Amino acid sequence: MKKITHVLVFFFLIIASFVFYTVKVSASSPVNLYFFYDITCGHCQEEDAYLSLLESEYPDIVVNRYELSESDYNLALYDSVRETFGKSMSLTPLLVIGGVALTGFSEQTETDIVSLIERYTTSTDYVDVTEKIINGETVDRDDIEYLRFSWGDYVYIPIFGNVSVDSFSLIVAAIVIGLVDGFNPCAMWILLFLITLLVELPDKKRRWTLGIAFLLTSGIFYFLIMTTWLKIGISIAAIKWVRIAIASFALAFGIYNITRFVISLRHRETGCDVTNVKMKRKFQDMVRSSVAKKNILMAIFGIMLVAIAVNFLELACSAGLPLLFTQILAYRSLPYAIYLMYIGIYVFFFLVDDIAVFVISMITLEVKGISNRFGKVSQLVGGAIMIAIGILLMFFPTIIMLS
Amino acid sequence: MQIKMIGAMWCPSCLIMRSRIRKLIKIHPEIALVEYDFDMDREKIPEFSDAKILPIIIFEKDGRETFRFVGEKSVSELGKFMEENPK
Repeated sequence: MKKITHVLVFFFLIIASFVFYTVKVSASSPVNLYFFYDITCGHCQEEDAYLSLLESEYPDIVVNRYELSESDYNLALYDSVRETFGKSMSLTPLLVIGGVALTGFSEQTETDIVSLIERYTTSTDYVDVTEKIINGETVDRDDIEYLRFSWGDYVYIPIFGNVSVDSFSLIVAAIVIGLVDGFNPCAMWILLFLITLLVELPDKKRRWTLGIAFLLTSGIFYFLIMTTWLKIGISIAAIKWVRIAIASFALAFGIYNITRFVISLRHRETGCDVTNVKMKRKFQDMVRSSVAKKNILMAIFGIMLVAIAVNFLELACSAGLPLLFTQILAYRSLPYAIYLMYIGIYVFFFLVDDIAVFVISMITLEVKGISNRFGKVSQLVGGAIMIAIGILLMFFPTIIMLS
Repeated sequence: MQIKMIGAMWCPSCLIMRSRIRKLIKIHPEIALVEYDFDMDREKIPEFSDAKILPIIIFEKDGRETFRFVGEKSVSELGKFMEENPK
């Protein structure tokens, strides 16, 4: 089992190393950018200036500008393009590159534009959808690619037909995946050990303070890790092979989890696996010495260090679901504060079982544990979710982008 | 009759089984429970140092082991065992 973990970590590191390596190659034919704008719109002016900058930086691109308020032809073309890309709202600026349409302008749009230019200048494997529309050719559904969605977008999903992006809720995904991730008992053991020591303490205030310090630190650590993954995810969302690599990672992690579940079924006994004994004993000593410290600030500091260290070491055990959730977020165009809100919801539900165990134990002064049967089920459900996300990400990316 | 339980402070299944065995003892007060911690009592129980799953629960009668099981068992499973193995 340890070997499988090492292989997965190695696989993850390879993906990460590729992620930071990009090559810029000149293409033989220029990449067309179709920029639809309104002369009175502020964001349009900002994007126009940015595109002018890119024109001087990338000699292989051509920006075709279409002002909408003074030309019926431009407006008609804009409406056709909007309709083709399933954009119900008449918003400007709208920029189309190959099979991708980008509405609005922000720092994120700048990143997306550069990613798309670099993708298309190094590959001829894309369709210039706007050119097809101008030439009166039929646009196939496969010609359209989705980088991320905006409010008001419609997308075609096999069987379901045209579906509004607004009807899909990232909140549901955050709650469900966060809960399943939370029942993964990787880092639960140290909390139980801490609670066992805390219930023996005579000082009620100290009991609650140290427990909350542990939970809060674990949550903040997880939040920061996910935020980092999100930032990486956003910058690489436009790269097709990265999507394939992440899909492969999801499939490998999912199969690993389900294999572990099947192996645990063969054993019949549901109990606590005795693994990493030396590491566990070292952490137990650290917790004991932290709880025993007379100075409460020193005790809190010790507990926080333990929380960070344990969560970091156990990350390989539970990295699959949070990594995939941040990838799902990366495919949606949202204000940064909203991204953080979704990660916050995920982390809260990830911690819900830990919070419940802690609060009940503190109130009853009896240590309560959650049966390892839940851990087994979470391994199965988590594995199934990862495989499903992996398959969708690889073969039906449009669906996963809608989470 | 005596129940020997080898558990650990970090193990949720051990907490659950401790609570269930205590319920059993309420019904059968003649049973004594002796607990060992896998990490803290390792010098007292060296024969369990290579345990793979916790808790390990051993039923003993007159100093002799009569039955053992590993992991979680429900209260009804414990009760059934007591019926099948009267003192």
